[in-house]
Amino acid sequence: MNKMVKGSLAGATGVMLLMSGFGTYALWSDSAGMNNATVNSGELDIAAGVVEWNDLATLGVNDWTPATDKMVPGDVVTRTQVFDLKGTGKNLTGTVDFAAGAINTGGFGALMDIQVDVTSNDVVVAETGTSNDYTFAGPFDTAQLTAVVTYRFDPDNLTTAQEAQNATASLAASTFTIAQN
Amino acid sequence: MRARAALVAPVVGALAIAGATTGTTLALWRDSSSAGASSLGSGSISLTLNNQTTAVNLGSVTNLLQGNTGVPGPALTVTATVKHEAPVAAKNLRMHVHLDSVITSSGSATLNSSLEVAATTVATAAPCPSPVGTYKPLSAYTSTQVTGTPIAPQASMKLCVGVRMKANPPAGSQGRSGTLTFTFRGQQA
Repeated sequence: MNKMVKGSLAGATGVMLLMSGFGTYALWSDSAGMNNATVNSGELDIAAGVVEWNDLATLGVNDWTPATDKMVPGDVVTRTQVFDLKGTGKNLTGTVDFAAGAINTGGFGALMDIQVDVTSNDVVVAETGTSNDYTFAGPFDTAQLTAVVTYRFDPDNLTTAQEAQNATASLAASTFTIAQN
Repeated sequence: MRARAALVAPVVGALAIAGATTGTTLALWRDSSSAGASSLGSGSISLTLNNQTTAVNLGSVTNLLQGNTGVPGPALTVTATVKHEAPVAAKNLRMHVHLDSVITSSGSATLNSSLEVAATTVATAAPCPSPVGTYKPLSAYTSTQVTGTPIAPQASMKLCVGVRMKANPPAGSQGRSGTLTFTFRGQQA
């Protein structure tokens, strides 16, 4: 065979090989993708709301100014503050503990009674056996705790006509701590 | 070599424990929020007569008898301004004025037993009523409230005090003079 024939045979062989290669795509195949997946974390948070002072001798709202108003025997004044809770996350359980600040009745002495009471209208949080402490057995989205401090100037046990005048009583800062179990 | 290993092991153990403790603290969520500190103060009570905290002279009354007839004349009235001096900040401190006593530091027993007194308060611009009130013997005044409406802090009222001779006074009360001392007290209403 001359060179031209050899070359033609080689080219034909190459074409055949290439054509047999196309035969690979003729077999069945399939594919499936995994969609994008996201996971989200929940939230655990407590935030203090506004403070409201009320003079229980009147029917007004937010009608006591502690910086300037002065108590007299028989006065009962309350300080109310709402705390907003957030608790999301499927397996979230935990507690809300209240640590009351130190009480100093100062010049009022035993005539000043200061009480702190924490309540909630949300059933998702339950008060524990310890007063003012709460627990939650699952996520609750949102809830509120209301802390009321009641100051009462006892009018019934004065021993002198001008006892406890110009006196000061105080309650140090109190803290709520919400914690995951 | 064995001795060297024994020295190293406790150190590694201590580091591992410290790391585990720190990690546990941060493993669970936690947040806190505080209710700020608060304080409250008390007020005070005080009253003045004619802007004085000490004794003031309310004036004199004369001719409680009609000349030398021994017949009682009309009641005579003296006035003063009584003020509730407590600061306005003591917003719930309303005050009643009480007349605790009327005593005589001089004069005759006959005159003293013949006198009757009444006291009340009215608005500062209002005239005293006539009669001032229910007249009673001096000895009848023991913590007698003379205010109708209690006085608010920093407010004032006119105090009216009437003095007269009782009906049919004894003859010994004629031509006598004496000094009456009234003790007023402000009391929280």
